[in-house]
Amino acid sequence: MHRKGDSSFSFHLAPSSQPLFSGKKSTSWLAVSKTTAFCGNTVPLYPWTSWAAGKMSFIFMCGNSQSAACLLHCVTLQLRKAWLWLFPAPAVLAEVKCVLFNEEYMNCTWGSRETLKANYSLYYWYRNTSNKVECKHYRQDQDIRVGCHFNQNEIIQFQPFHVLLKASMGGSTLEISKRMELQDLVKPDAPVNLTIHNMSNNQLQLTWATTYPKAKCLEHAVKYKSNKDTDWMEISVNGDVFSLPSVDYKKFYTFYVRSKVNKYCGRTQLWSEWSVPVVWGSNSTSKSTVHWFWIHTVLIPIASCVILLVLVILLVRMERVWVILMPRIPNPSKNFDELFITHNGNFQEWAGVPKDVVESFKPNYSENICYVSELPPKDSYDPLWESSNPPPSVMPSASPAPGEHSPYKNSYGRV
Amino acid sequence: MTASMLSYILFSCLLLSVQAEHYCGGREIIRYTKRLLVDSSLSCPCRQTAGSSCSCLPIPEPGHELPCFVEGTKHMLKTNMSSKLVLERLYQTFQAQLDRNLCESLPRGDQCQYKTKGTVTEFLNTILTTYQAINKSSP
Repeated sequence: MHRKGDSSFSFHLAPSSQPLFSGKKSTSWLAVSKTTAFCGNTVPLYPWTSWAAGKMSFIFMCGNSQSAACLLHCVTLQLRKAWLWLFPAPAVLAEVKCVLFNEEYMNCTWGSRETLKANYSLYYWYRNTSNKVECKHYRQDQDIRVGCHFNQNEIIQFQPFHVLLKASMGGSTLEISKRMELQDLVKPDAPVNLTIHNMSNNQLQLTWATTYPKAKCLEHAVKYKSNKDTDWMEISVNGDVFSLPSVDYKKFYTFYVRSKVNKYCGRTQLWSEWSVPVVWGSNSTSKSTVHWFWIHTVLIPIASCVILLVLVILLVRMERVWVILMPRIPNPSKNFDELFITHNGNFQEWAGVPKDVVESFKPNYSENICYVSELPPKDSYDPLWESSNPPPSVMPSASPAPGEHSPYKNSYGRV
Repeated sequence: MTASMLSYILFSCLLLSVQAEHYCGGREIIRYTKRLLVDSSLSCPCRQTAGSSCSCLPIPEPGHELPCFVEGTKHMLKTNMSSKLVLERLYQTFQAQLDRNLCESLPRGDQCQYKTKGTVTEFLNTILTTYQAINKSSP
């Protein structure tokens, strides 16, 4: 640290520099501040930083006091501020988030008891007002202020809304400011009174109502599925009516609706919560499905097995049933016992054919055998009669006795 | 032409003229403005100096929106932008509202009064916010 002139000081921090203080910095600084409380206005003046040649410089003045103790007090204060500026405590940092619920009230929050360790104060103002107003209704988590509640009369939309959050800890104060447009932070309440109407042609119509004061500023989204579907279908709707063109009466449908301020009234991305669901369809389909499952997989197979078993038993035990199901192949041999036993196979005798008819079928002529052979071609080979085997001679048949009737009058016995 | 028909025509004209005074065209202007905001090819309508951002469009003071919107869109039309058709439509709508006092919600100021100038995005967001407010407050 260097003293420039009478009352100006500077100290430098470089990457390779040694720590300025050792030991517990907070107690040593606090002890110094307390003992020099009589210094009054000897506080750091015109503090500024500069960065050059790889080192940061903190430069400030300590008034005109020549008292060593007061000068030390001043220096200590500035060192503490510089330290906090360089190494801010994580518990002090916070971001202000505001949500305007259904345009009825607004909550601005900046953290929770687990993350915050400082004492917070919130101030707000609008563009057209210059006076900063402190939050009237803090929200506390035990003894830590974690948010601010705004009533409807404290909310003005379409005017820049400024907040200033002051976090004080151990004598030092950190300030966070933010500018917001409240019309872009509106979160409507969920739609209510969901109602389903049965229209013609298997069409369903879903209607709902909203508690938001300006219904024309809302757009909606409908989410639905049936008991047979795995994924939800989400559809955007501009009005307050949703139509489902074709529905299956055997299915069971569930519908949800949510709302958001549309682009004609704001730029919010905040959707409301999903509404209370409304259902439509036959819930008994689920029960009948279970019944059919048991019938198909258990009852019918068991019944079939039992019937089969009964039939098998009946077949085995009752020959009458067996005979009906498996009739014997008829054996006609009994009908021919008389033929073979009594008449010795004489069919005509068994059939009762008259003897004169039997005699008429007996031939009363003799017929010679007539050998016929094919003459071979001349060039190819020798005729058969030149071989050692003479051609068979044709025996003339006995000429039939004159007067006897013969069906073969023109005999082919002659060659 | 009967007297009843004449009175009917007169009454219709009166009704239309009353409605016309309340015609701010908010939804149409919002649609066009959002289309311009999405268009990333919007270039700076002013001469951009090195090292500085393009902030040359007027951000109007309350009560002087229309003249500033006319002036700003006219300024944007001078540059070659891909959304020239939309800009032209916006400019003409603002000019018509200013000339004929079509929108009661917007005061008919003569000159554009502003405290700061902003970028194209800031200017378009101002248009958006102004007409969203009109839409929301209208019955």
